[in-house]
Amino acid sequence: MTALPRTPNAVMGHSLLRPLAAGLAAAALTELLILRTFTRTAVHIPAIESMAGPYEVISDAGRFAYFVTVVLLLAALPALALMFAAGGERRLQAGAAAIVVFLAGAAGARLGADELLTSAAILGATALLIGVVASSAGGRSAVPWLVFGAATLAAGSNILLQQPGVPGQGDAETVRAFLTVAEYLGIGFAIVTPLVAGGLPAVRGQVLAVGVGGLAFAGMLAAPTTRILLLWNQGFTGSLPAIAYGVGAAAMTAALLTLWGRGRRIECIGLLLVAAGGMGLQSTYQSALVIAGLALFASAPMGANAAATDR
Amino acid sequence: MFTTNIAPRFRSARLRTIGAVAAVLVAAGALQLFDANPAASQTLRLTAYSASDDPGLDPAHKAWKNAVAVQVPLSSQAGAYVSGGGSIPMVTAKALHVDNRLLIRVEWADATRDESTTRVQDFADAVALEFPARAATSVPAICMGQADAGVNIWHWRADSQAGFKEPAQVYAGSIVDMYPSRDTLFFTARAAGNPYSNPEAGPVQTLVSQTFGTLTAATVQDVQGSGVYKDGTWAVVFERAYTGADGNQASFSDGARTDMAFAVWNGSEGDRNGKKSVSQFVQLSIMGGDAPGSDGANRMTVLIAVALLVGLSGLGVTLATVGTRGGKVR
Repeated sequence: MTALPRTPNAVMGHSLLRPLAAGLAAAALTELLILRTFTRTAVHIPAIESMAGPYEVISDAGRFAYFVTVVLLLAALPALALMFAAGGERRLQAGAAAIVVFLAGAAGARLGADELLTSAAILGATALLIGVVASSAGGRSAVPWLVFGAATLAAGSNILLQQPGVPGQGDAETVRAFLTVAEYLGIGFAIVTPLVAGGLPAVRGQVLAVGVGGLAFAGMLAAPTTRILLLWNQGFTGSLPAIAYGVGAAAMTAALLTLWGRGRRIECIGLLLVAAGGMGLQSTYQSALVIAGLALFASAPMGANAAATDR
Repeated sequence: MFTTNIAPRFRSARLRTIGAVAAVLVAAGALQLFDANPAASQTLRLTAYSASDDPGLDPAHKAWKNAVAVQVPLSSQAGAYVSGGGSIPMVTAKALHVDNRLLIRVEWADATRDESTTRVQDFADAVALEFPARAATSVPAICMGQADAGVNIWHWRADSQAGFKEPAQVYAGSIVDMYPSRDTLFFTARAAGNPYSNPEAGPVQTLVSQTFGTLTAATVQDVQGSGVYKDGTWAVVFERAYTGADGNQASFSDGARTDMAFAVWNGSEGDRNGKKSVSQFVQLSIMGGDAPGSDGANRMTVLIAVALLVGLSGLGVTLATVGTRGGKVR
């Protein structure tokens, strides 16, 4: 990873960002587990309606975690944009511009602006930020981000092509082709994420990663709900063989454990947020998770420099 | 001395942290309390524009030609006890509104026309639309809703539309010695109140549900529908007034947005009940004006959107290319 010269403001901003990123990851994971997973799985519990009281308490806790994540995103994204703008490098300024374009697009989408424009802005901003991350990573570490960028564009284009006013309105074959390509690339990204971390975790970590992969494989094989959750939560159609998702989950777990084990916590949180946000255009909330994750990843060299300065 | 210098700073930092955490929690609580969600959906959007001509229940009416179509991908879905579905990969959906009535047209390719369920081994083609019973921060579980967020389902069946077939029509050469009465009593399902056995109920049934095991017919059946099978394709139109009959049924209005999902059953593949092809939720947007044509304003919007996407993505690709080649972007 390239070491970057920093201004004092950028270094100070990065040290303030660490607790914000940790809180964001905790809130987003809580939301993912309760609101997007538990409440959508609990419908399978027989006679769940007889446990309406506890269910509603848990469901409300999930919604609260969602709103905590939203507030933290609203704080983190402008902070990251300001930090990048103060970073003094063109690629960081491009990152700041990407965040600003995303925030404008998300605000526009909320206020009812033309959906084609806001979706194009959000998708373009995501692609630009992926370019910034790939540029920072360099070499083989950039490969997963390039694959993720292609997956994001393919998945997002499926939505863009079907917006009112778009010529052709995205015929069925084109839409299906984009979805298929996005699925392959999305799983491809998960499988090659260890390149981001630059290695594999220790033996215990590898065992854990294989265990997570096995669970994902079994889940895809045995429970159709897993495929629906994958579609809802991460934007995958679940059309590939179950083993592909198992390998993807194992590889991504290995990458997260490697990053964490090597003290690259901000990057670990960044990758976690990207995974929680998913692929393509789902909602501005999930896109914001991806943008925040990418921005944290891009900010990591600034943190490394800050640590070096501290020493 | 060291302690006295450091302690106030530490206390101050801790107070700042506590204050920041409290501010985040209060802000989140306020957003939840007022159900003020700053995020917006970005899923597929089915837009219902105003129609000058009322197409009624005719799927081939010219009014549908100008309606905006979206291709909604479906995937196999299964419940706890049966598995399968997935033979219908996609539906084409269109929507219009006329005089405070919502019309939704669903079209899908199906090589077989399955509209008889007289034999126990036969199953009918069908399609259903699912709406959240009421708008909320999060959409309900797509599988029959959830305890705190119900769903409203409009279910059209080809066999209900085709009507009953006499057994002799299905079993050629069969002979009935004596059939003493045509009273309802002798049609046991009809006598028991099964709406699918009632020839007067129409092809569409309105259902409400708040999780598995709670699916039931709505008290008021006010959704109309009609399907046409032609050249290997089903086209079905649903129609209902904006206002739902009660709080368990979705209501609509000009300018409103809600979520909706699709399900298709392919009878020849043995689809029934939970064995079907399903979509995820897409967004239904009801616009006050007419459908967009190919005027300059739309072309300009498309051009700006393409410029935004290509420009930003191109910049990203350039940065990535320079970075991966070991170049510096200063």
